[in-house]
Amino acid sequence: MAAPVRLFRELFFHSTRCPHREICSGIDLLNGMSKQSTWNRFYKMRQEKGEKSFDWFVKYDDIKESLEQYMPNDCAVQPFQLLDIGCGTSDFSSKLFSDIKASKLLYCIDFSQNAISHLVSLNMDSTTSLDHQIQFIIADATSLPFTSSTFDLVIDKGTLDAVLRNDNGADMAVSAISEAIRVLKTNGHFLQISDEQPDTRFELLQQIAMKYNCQLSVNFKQIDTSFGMEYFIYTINKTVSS
Amino acid sequence: MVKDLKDELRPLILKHSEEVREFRQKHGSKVVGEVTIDMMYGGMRGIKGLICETSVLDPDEGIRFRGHSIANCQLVLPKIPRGEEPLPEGLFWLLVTGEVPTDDQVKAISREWAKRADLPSHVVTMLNNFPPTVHPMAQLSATLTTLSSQSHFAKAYAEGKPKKLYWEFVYEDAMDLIGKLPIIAATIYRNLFRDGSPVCPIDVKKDWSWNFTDMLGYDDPMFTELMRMYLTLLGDHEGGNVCSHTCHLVGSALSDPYLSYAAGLNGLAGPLHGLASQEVLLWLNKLQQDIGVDVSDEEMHAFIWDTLQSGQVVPGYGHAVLRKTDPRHLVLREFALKHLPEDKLFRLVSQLYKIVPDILIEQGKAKNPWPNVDACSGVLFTHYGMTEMSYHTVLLGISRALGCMASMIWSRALGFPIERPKSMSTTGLKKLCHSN
Repeated sequence: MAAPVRLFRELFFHSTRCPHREICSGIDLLNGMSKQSTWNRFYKMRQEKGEKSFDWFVKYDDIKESLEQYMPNDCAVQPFQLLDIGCGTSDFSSKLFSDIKASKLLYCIDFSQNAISHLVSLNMDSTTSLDHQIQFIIADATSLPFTSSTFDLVIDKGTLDAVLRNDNGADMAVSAISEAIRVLKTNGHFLQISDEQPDTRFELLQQIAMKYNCQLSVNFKQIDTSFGMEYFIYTINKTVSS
Repeated sequence: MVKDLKDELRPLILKHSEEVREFRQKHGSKVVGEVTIDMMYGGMRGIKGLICETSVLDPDEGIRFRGHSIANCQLVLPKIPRGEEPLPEGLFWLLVTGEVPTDDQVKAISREWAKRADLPSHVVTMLNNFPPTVHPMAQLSATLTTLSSQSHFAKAYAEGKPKKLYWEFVYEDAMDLIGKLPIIAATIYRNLFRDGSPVCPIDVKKDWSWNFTDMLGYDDPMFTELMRMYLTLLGDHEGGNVCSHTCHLVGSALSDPYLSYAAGLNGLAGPLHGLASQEVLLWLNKLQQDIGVDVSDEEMHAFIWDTLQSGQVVPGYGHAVLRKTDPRHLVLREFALKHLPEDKLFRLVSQLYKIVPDILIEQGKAKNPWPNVDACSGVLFTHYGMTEMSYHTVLLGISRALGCMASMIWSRALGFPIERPKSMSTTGLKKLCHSN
């Protein structure tokens, strides 16, 4: 079974507070990207269109070679624990998960109830779900319901980009990153996949890393895509435990 | 009587030199960031390695010139009487001194630059003998390189003048170079696109941008206002971009400002750096050919959707450095909304501004789907008749001289040494990894 977890499931029923619009356009999302209610509308709309999964920037297959270096050895004793922060309805982490050959556990979290319930119903009959190898949890990136030093690999694909949109976005981003670092094991890696350029994102990560006094090392590289968009993988490696 | 800019600078340099000296004494060994192997292969992006006093990029506010946001500069920098756009002379004063100039100080700069606009005959001969196959940017950089023969700094260095006086000669060259840029650029324009007809003489009573548009052969006062605004907005953009960095690097070897800025222009001529505005125009022209100019929002939406879905990009979108639309883009857009709202190309650009970010988000391609400054600049120039796309980068080259020259004066004033980072081979890096 998983390492001890301060698990909580909050199921919000907020349909009365939701604006009466069925559509969540790109501009709606752009303007409300930090808000849970926006994302709930977004996922509801896409599910009503019959969409099974939605990925930001890249899909797993686009970058799986770059992720191989973070996979565990086959002969690892402890189960490899993977956390996806802000999973949405993407199949990125579950595909990564299925490529891991060792014993493993995956937690996918999102603050959107609609995203999580969609993933739960999609995975209801899969063996991994029945074994509790994959769990879908409603949680907030700035307050993770996990004990410290739990995860070997933490992934954030496009989540911090949404967190940064809050009015006090910079502070909340620092909270979110600190939480991710907290739940990371020693020698673990925290990956952020984003379209935000290194001038801004890497600078933010370096500033945060400096506060940790040599316990973190940071890096980034550009992802090669066949189309012209620029994406980056930012990595934080926890070298020493805090 | 307005104090000369050089005289204004003298005490500022003394003060700032002392400030830097004290700062480095206290904090010189502080570590400011890490360098990884990926960053070494990655073009040094993210590595902090340069000092640039004139401008800093704020991820939320955009570029700040000596601490002033774009919006603030639009407000406080002097304009011509009854004009609405700031004068680049004012930006130059701000970049050099850190202080917002008065109207009189700006007028004094205009006069200085007009006085320094003459070209030696060998340079005129060279300009008039370029075959039309030589790109305007190449002509500009070649001409500036040749002007090295006039460099006060080169002469002073050869005469063994002391290091602490270098900045004074760099200042003279910088003012000469900026003064001469309009006439060189206008001559190139008229040779290439107006059958070699001669440029009109400089008028010492007119400001820098006005003389430039006159010499180009444009008499619409709105075009001159556009030029004033554009040359101000694009004047500087931190120290790491190819043009500014190159100018700084070459200048650090004590090459004179002409050689240094010509080198910077060669970087600006590269398709990855300065040609974005041209790409946008070419794409807009193609779009017009494919679906016409009066396109409904639905048709535009479908066209862009298909473009992005098929893996192509929309030039001007998708490389956002800021967390919102570049304020320089917004200033250009406001100008267009005010002065040319019915322009067909601008209406296309406006439609794109409404529709492209929406689709980039809907397709999950970007969470920072903002247009950059080039998404609309070319359209504005085209409206007033400057349809020659290959020339638009020249305008950027003229603007950027302001920041590069301001920085160069300070680099010599503060005695910055030659720039020389360490390189390593893959073999060497592998050894480094194994030994850890």
